[in-house]
Amino acid sequence: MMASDEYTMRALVERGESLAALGWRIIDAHAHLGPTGTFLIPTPDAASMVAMMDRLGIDRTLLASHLAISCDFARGNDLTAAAVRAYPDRLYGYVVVNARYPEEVEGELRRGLDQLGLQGIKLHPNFQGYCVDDPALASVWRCAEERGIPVLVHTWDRDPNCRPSFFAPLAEAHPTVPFILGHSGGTPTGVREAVAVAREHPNIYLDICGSLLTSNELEWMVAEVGAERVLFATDVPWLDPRFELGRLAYARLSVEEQRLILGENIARLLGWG
Amino acid sequence: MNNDRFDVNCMLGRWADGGPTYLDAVDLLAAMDRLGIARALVRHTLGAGYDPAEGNARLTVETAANARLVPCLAAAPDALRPESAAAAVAGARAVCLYPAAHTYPPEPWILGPHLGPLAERRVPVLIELSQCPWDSLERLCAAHPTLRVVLLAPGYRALRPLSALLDRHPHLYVELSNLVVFGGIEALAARFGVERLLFGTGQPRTDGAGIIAALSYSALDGAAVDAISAGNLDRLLAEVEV
Repeated sequence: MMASDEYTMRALVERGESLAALGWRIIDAHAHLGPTGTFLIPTPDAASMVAMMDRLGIDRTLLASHLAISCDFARGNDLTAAAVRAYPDRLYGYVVVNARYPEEVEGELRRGLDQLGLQGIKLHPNFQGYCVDDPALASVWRCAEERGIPVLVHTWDRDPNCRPSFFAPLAEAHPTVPFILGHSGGTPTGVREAVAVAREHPNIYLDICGSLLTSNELEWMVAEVGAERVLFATDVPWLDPRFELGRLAYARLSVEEQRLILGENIARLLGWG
Repeated sequence: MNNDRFDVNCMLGRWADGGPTYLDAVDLLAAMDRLGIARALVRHTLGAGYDPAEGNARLTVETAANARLVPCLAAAPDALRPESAAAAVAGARAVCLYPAAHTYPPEPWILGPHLGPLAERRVPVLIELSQCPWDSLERLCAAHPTLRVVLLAPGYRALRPLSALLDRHPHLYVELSNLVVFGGIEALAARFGVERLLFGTGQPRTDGAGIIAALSYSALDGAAVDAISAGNLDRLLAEVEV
């Protein structure tokens, strides 16, 4: 798959060179856009994100705007769609719905997927204050089943709304829906819980973004669930994608495991050939 | 870039919570080699979580045989035995405070007698953000305007208070291992210069591969990255009057 030591992922990262030299599809499965009310992000705009993608060699990024996961999901979905239109073939979007507005969930799903052209569904139960078992989300699971699209959900260690173990009954009830556990539970304890759930449910996928994950935890995660269910993700611009890329590059993984994680797995879930 | 890396933030020793550990200098050096880190300013978990004197003694033994490791001694105020507290760090080239772990308010009225001599000798004083509230840090810097303070591990939410503090206190330095907000390093460099930014890993609790990649893909020029990676810490330690 890969030729010389000069062009391993780690060698490229050490030299600060684009990963395009690997010849792989590199896709960021979890990103955002725009300012967030909780802290200052120096450059949260789409142009800055795409410039960083160019520098790192990331082909595509899937995002949901910060506005969508905070106080105005509909307007936030419009911002996501505008960024996607501005950078075709580079940026792709998740439609966000909020179970606190149950009467709007189904309509916003249709609008986001059919009119705005977004590719998957994103939920943030922590920010928006509902539990993933909320009955208002029934149309989310049905929609994902009918369309065969993934649902990315924020998860965190012991979060009363979205800790990893809460996804066991959902994954069992909806075995054809790919559930992506955002941050894989976050902390070392949360990651252990996420891995345990993923081991029992083949339709659960683990994304690696989160400031608390280490290379060692990543190696262990891959050994436990298989590289086929681990997804490269950065949380940009909430977080800086270079940190996540570094942890992945220095983890002791095979070339094929890196290739799957960096892009092939999410491409498969989205039907991107 | 010369790829010389001098880590200002790593620790030896076991943790109460069973977290990742470098048991001894051999462990630590192997981890440094894996990431291409030449040197490290090292602390010991015993100094933070048990007893500064015991931790410092252990740290001195562990680092004595290897020039790549520079000890950073633990310090704590002790009004009952002020001479003892001062003597414990008398020859230190760097000192770390753990106010939360050692259960005292990090305020000038309690730390002043200890920080004054360290400021005179230009000894860098390290302190983790998790150990010291922003307001206390501001009061410490204001009370000791020439004290070299190295803030360890401010996180991705820190830019608003951090930039205000950097603006007010020219001898405040920032360790970057946990500053993982998008573009945070470049933003601080543009506003305050690279001289006050320091490479650190936070190992073994956090993964040094992240900050290494952040700097290798940095928009900063090679000289700036070299300064952050090692030059700034070299300069700080060279200025200490031992």
